[in-house]
Amino acid sequence: MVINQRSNKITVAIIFIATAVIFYPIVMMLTISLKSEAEFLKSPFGPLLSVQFQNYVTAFKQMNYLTSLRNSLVLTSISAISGSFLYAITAYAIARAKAARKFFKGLGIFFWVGLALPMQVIMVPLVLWMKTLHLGGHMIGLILVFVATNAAYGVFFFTGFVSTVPLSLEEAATIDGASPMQTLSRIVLPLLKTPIVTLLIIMVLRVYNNFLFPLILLQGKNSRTLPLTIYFFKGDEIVSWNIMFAATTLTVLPLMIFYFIFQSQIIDGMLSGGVKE
Amino acid sequence: MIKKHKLTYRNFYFYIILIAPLAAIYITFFIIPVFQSMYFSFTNFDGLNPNARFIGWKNFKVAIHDKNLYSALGNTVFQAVGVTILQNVLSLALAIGLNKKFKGRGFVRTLIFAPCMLAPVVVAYLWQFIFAPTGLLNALVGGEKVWLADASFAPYGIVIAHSWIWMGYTATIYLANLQSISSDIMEAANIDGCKGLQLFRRVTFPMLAPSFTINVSLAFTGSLKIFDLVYAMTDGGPNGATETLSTYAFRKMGTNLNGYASAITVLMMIFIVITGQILTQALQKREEAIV
Repeated sequence: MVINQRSNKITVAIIFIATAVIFYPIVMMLTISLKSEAEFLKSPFGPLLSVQFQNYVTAFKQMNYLTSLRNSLVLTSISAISGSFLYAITAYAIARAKAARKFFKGLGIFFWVGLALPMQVIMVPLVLWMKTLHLGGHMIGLILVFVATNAAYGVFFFTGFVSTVPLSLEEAATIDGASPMQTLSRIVLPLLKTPIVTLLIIMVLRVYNNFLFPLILLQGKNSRTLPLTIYFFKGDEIVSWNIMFAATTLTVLPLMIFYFIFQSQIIDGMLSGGVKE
Repeated sequence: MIKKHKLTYRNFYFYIILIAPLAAIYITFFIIPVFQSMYFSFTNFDGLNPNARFIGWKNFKVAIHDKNLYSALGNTVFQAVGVTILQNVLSLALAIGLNKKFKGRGFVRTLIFAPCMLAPVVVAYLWQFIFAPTGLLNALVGGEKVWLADASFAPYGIVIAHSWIWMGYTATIYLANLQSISSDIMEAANIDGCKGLQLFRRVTFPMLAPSFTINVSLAFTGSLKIFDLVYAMTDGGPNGATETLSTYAFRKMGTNLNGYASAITVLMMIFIVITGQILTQALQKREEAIV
């Protein structure tokens, strides 16, 4: 028993050390971002001797932070909300349609096929295609691309949850005189609240952190999202690492706040969603 | 009966209306571009002129003899295998440790999960600095080596950074699976004298088959598609040592060889779909054999 307790203590100690090692790059980013140029050059990894926010002021100005933040927030929120809603009602219709069952099943497969395809397939024709549609360089075009490229995943995600909504509830509502629309909005969607929140979280992560589509579709400094801004931040001028890390901290800040507030929902949601890209 | 028939018939149009918006978006912004990409792969499309000339199988014939493409394919597979192994081994060890009850376990879980919230571009810069001349690795081992400029190290650098992003996520999936194993089984194995490494090999690991399937296929297919981390961290360098299929296709797009880039993405799509299928089926077969 004594040996067992000791081995348990050793395991826990190892876990804490491993956690410190894993989390250290983020701590390193934060401490370096708060160091002055002189202190950074003298001891980049030493403890923080004096906190100063000058790097943040510089980064904030140079990366045009508020504009990029606004672009990211607009893009992420509209894509996530409209996507989640559309995926939910589409999955519902595919699962519930009785007439022309084969047609709807075929539609389900049509959406499901996209799950296997890597997003890079569309990167070559996309720029010209968006121009043809007069959506080149517009935020709305990018939002539509995000809704489309995540559609397969979203519809697939909801299909399982829709079947857990008892059919008898819907039938009862119909007998009581509810229209199909009322049944959907008053009965089905409220019952799907938990998976909708989960998908919203997953969509936020996927869209906010995406780099490829903003890179090829957005033009001009003023339309850049945060990941795009941080990418060009390094290219546009040579910056020292302490300013660089202030800029990366500012980039990840909105999601980090989101994460530390909703951590349990986010972790559970990502696990149930198999979210990795 | 008649009433019911009427009901579903009316709903037919209702369901069509529900599906229509997403179907339109999905077709316009995903399905049509996929077909356009297939079409462009048979042309000399330069990215700007929509009236590209049809050149038959030429792009694919060039691809067969393109040494850089083979090298990109090799790098991609190397990274995918490397990430799959490193990420799963480390996170499995973490999950087993986390399966014990101790104070601060929730906090540990929150911290190790955090890296997958970061944008891959940010992760790329973090690790660029760790491997930089004045960076963390040199501070630890002493020296001023530019690690990512070393072609024999750079691929491992990418593998480490990529595994770091998803380690906590993978560990949390294993942990959920571990917690679902009934303690009866563990106790029975203990009574039978099964302990330590043997317990892990004979009991714990086989019981983890469901999460193993998920984690291995996610890590492998995810790494085959990797773009942003590599693009921002090494941009395929040094000397093409970390070039992956998607960064290579992107590079060809930048030199107005968009038809050829299309052919590469189409080949890449076929490769990912086939290897993904084989892997998932093999893993599921393994899972069924155990259960």
